[in-house]
Amino acid sequence: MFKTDKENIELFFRKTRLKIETFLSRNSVLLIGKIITISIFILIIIGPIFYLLLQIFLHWGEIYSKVFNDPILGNEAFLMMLRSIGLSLKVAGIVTFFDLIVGIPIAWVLARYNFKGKKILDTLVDMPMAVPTSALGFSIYLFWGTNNGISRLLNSNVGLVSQGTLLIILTHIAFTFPYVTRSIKGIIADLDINIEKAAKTLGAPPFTIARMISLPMVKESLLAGTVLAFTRSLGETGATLIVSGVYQTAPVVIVSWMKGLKIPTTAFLSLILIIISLLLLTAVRLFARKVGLPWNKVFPRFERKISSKKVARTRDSLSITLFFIFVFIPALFVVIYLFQWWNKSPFSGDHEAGMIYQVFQAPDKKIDSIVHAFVTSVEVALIVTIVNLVIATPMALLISKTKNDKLKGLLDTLIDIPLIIPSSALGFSIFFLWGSNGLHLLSPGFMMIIVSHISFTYAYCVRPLVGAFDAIPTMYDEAAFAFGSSRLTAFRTVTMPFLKSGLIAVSIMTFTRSMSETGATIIVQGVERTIPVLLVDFFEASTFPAAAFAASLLILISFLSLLLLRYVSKER
Amino acid sequence: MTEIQFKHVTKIFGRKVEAVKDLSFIIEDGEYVSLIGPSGCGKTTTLRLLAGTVLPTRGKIFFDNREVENLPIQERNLGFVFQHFAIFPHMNVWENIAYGPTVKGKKKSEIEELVEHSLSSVQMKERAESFPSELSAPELQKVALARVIAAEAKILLLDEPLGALDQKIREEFQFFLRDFVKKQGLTAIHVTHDQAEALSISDKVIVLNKGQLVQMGTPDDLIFSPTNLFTSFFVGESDFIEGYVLDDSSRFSKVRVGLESINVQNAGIHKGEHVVIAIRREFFDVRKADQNNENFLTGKVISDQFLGLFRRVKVLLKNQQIIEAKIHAKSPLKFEENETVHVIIDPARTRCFEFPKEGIKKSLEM
Repeated sequence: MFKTDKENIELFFRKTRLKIETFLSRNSVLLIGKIITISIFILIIIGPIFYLLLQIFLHWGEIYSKVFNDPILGNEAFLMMLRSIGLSLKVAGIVTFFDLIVGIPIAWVLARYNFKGKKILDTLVDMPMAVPTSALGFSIYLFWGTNNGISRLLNSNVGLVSQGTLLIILTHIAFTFPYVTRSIKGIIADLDINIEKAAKTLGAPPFTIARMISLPMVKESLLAGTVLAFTRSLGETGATLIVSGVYQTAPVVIVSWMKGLKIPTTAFLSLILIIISLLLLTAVRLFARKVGLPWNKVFPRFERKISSKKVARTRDSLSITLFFIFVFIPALFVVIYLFQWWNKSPFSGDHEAGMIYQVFQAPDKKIDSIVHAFVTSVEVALIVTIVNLVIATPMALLISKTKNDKLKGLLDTLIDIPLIIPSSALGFSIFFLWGSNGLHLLSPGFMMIIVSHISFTYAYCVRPLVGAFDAIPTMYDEAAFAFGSSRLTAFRTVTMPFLKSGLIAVSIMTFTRSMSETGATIIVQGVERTIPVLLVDFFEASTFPAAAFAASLLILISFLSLLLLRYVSKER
Repeated sequence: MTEIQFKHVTKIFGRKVEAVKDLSFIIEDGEYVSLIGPSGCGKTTTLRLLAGTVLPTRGKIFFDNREVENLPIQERNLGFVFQHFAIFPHMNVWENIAYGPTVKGKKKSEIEELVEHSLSSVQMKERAESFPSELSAPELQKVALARVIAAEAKILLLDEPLGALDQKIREEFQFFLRDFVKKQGLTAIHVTHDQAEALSISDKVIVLNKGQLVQMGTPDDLIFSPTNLFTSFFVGESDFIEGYVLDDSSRFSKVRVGLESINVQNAGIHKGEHVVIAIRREFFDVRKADQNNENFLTGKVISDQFLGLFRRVKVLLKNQQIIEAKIHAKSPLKFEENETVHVIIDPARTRCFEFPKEGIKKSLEM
């Protein structure tokens, strides 16, 4: 009796679930789902940007007077914009150039050679991408700009590199060059080695082969990685706030104007930055296939010379050495610093200058605000991850199943927008749409942080999921349908298991990105603080040991996430 | 068991691509039917029309006299077997087979019964707990078949089901598959590009070209009584000899080929008509010219090639046409290049068709 009861209950629940799924699989219901998916996409991605554009257009008079014709400052605001954009573009250009010089050889080494510790190097190269930029910037500043890092080795009492353009460049190279390496590493590994062998038998030296045969084959991805590196440098806020000093890049100017509540000028500058990024994205989408690498001419003697084993080995070890000196050690120096200043100043031996006193014992109880910020960060990251999984999965499915190539391409490009526009500009446009200047649904604070984080992590979710959906053969769905599954039942029973590891990977990535974001958070945070922002606050208050504590905490979290991510993607 | 009927079914993709044109046929209860034809002939589209993953632009489809063209795939009660099996990789064999009855909302005890029965029908009982990654290709295909049985499907759609199997296993599996379908009383539609497979496995074969039905018949019909040039060309290798009918009075009529004449089977050809004689290459016989031969065409040997079981003798006929005879390798006669020979033609093995207006080549275009 008992057994049949249990069976009947199971049957009842299964049948009910199947009925619900069948109902939800009806074309009309699916259409509603599609509309909701697209609406969410428009509301959180496109909406803020369009609203910003619209408002600038509608209030052009006010903006014009503030930007170009202020009664006190004249066009000083505009000049400052030009200066900051100029600086941003200059920095991004130089950074991208060095990214290519360091990034391509490292990608080559990782793709082609087998050596002890290759996996470790591979993980280390990814590190700067995972470490929150504000922690990274702080660490690099400590290494180059104070008397704790490199200066100590050189027995100097002042920092080697002061805050400014050079330090900005050093910092930006650290977190952007992995985009270049990452974009081409896998493809180089997959290239048909026989093609290169053929070129070799025809007498081409290795350098010429790499330049004329192999790199052209990876050019599209290389270009995509380069643009990503460029736009990341152009839009970075968190680290730049720390290392820039008085030389303000455009995103930093957005933050400081926002703090002074200069809304019209901030809006205008945000829009300009967004437009620059969008132009870059469009140009790459349109011309990626058509661009050739420069110099089809061959210089046999010169290229043979620099192809010699000696030169190649020197180049490889040099690029790896450069990586360690300029990226890895500065990026993690903060941890060493933390131990140097653990309970006293290494210089004066002063207990009150040490980390323990500053964080745990000083009357302002920094540990309380750290714990509070930590909880906020985790809450935000968790909510953002869950929400994004719910809204990004249908969007990825929609893109993957769209048969119209033009529509697919359009959606594909639109998805990328939050990836490339400066996060402070994105944060500002969200503040503008959702806050008192727009819909007036939210005021700066917890909820607005969540909305802005959803917005910029959305692409990180959708993009890999589209790939995951594309990789599932349609025959599984068809088989499930033939046996009587509704679409939703087939999705739950057949598609989801294929996606599992992809979903976990995406969740970890989203969580990490949200934990480490600075630029947008500063704009929309109100009185709330997340850990990366708190780090900037500590830095600005010159309580370095406390900042080092927060930075090390962030680095630890992102390192654990990275390990977890590696583990999950290996499971596959 | 289900009877399937297509009535003037047309499927147009986009605006212009006619994948299937005015297709009509009846597949009887429990029949095993293969769809063959060159790639792009519409066989896969036909299978998809049956499955319901593609809807017809015009025409009607009936299962047991019930109109189904607007019925979704879920309600057509059919089972799919794919070239790459489509066994769900995250479920074990038991769960895979239980999938159909589970999503149809059957009772647990009933599901267990169905799965047990299906597993034993393919002799896979001891592999119930295995995961797909642990199974060989033929085992996977057996799971796919068991899954269809457990879902109580009446129609079995097979899309190149043997394509992923090795040549040797494939031949064995053909027998297993046919035997299985017959025992379970399924109506099976099998898409393949392998004509030999279609001929040895099916009750009937449908030949498609450019989305149209060329001929439907038993394997025997297709080989011995093709009703048109395309079938005799596509099903096995044939040569085509051009001629004019001299007399149509008896069962065998005389046809002039160049300056010679031969007797061919008369299947509705008329005196004075321009015709094509189709002869399968293995039905030619080549003899030395100095012997006392009957019903032959004279020609010169171009080449005599050894092909394992067969020899291929290429002959240039007097009317400047080249034919290839497939002669059993055991045949003691060997031919020299340029040797004059007689190509013997068995009238009973010939088929005559009206000469296509657009020319032979054009009419055989795929």
